[in-house]
Amino acid sequence: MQSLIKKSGLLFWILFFATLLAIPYLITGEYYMRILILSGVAALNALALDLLIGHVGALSIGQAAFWGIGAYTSAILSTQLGIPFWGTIPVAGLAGGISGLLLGLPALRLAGFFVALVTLAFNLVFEVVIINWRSMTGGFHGISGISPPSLPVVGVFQSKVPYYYLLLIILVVVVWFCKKYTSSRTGRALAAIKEDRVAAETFMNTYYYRLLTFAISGAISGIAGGYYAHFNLYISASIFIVLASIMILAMVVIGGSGTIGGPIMGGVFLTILPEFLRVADEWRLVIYGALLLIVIIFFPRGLHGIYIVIKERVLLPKTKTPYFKA
Amino acid sequence: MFVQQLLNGFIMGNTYVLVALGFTLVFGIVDIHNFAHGELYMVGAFAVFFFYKIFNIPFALSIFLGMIITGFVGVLFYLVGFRPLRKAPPVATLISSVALMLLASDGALLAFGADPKYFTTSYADKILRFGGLTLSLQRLLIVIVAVGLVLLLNLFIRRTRMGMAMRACAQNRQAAGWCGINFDLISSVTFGISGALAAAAGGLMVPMTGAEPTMGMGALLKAFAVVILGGMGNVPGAIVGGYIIGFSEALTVATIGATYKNVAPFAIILLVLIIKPSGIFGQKSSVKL
Repeated sequence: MQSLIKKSGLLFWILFFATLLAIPYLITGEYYMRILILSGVAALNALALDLLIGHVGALSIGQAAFWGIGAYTSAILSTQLGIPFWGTIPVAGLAGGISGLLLGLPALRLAGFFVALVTLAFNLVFEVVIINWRSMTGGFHGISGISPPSLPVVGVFQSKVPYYYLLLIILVVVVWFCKKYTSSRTGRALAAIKEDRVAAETFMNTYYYRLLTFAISGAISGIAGGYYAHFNLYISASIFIVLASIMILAMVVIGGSGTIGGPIMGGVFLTILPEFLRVADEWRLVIYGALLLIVIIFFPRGLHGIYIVIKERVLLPKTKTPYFKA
Repeated sequence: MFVQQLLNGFIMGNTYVLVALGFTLVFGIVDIHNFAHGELYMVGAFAVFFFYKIFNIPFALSIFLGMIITGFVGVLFYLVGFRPLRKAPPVATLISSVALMLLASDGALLAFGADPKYFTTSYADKILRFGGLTLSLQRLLIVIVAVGLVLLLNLFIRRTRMGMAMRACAQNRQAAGWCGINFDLISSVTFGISGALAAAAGGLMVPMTGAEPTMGMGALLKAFAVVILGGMGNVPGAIVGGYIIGFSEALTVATIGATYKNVAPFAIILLVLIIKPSGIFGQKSSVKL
């Protein structure tokens, strides 16, 4: 009986990945593909932020700044130096990572509120700098004419399809990395820190682990930013605002923080949701705020938590164990 | 001219004191960092606007009513966003306050539209001149109201039973409970007061900056600067800090120029966090963990 459950679990994942690979053939229309790709980018940002929220326990309201740093790095390298996608992405990730490190240095020495405050301030300062540093960033007009990626066999990316597969690969790599990271020694250290920082401080340097995670979080968002720049081919300051950071926070919380599936679900859900709310577009942010509030109070484990509950109540009771009444 | 700038700084400082006081009271007594505090400032501004401009209620009464309404909104924030999370980890409270901030500012955007709403009072026309400085009665009012409210607050906290209970909660919440103090009630009252103070500041500023849905964030950041400078949870610190921030802003405008006006609070936050994070009067325990 147990093995049947395990096999149906494996079957689920096989079907899931097959569907993911087949999506460009199932979904027609550049518009829907774009939504899907944007939700993938959102999922990357959410994963990055959840490393901070769910594993370090630090609330960051500035993730969009790392995203923006990556995007602008890629955009500037591409338009001013003609460096192709494959060259700008690592630099974008590096820029994000260094920013995360620099921001974490002062922020992590202080209590939770101050981390939130410093990241918020960083995002605001980033906005102002981008708008005013016109020579580098194009100010309000942004940067356009970013070159799309190109591959030897595929050629220059024309439609959304190659972008989609590229994003899928990036997501798989990032998810694999996050899984490895959170179950490694470092990951276990983070879990201890999150549980009881004072106790953990007695036998490890918590500052180092938290700082490292800050840098990694920044790097992942930086890569997401670089990808976004080469996908959208145009970026401007209005994308990487504090509101975007709050949205990413909402994705993490609503999806379920502390897990891998949660932020991804949250990212996809909150990117796709506006499409269904077209009718009430002005209410969009109010709905998000209300959703976030309701989730944090009543469903702290988010969508992922609901999924786990469904899995355990509905699916697993089929196995009868002596002390469990289904 | 320079002294005129300093005077302006002093006047602005009064509003910062009011907003910061509410925030620091909530932290000191209820132990919550309320990211949505700026929204109370915004709600207060709109409330006063409606009472004065739409319902034609006399200005002083409008401010008073605005304070009452916003006080209730503050209590509402507490009941909806913070009270359910009293057993949850502190991160949840922060997230909840961010959610409230989003709800409030975009709810206001939806309800009132993005255009700033202004009114002018008859006090704006009466100008006082002394020693080469000009000051409209409207701006003098800001000082009078702020100072008056601070004195009232001081009396309330020092001389009333409720105030004593609030101080007890700030010192040792558990022991206060053993003395029969209802922490829930005290929390509500504190949130109400913080809303009322922010509303007074917001209402007084409408003639100058107008009432618009996004004004909360700016007020919140100024409040952050003040309480970080003065010490988190510290009332005299909030007062001193408020005036310092007001003056530093005015000095920035007078020396470097108006474009960098909003940089001064950030710079001060950064400096304080690097040099002495607990602020002028604060204790380390409220800052480090």
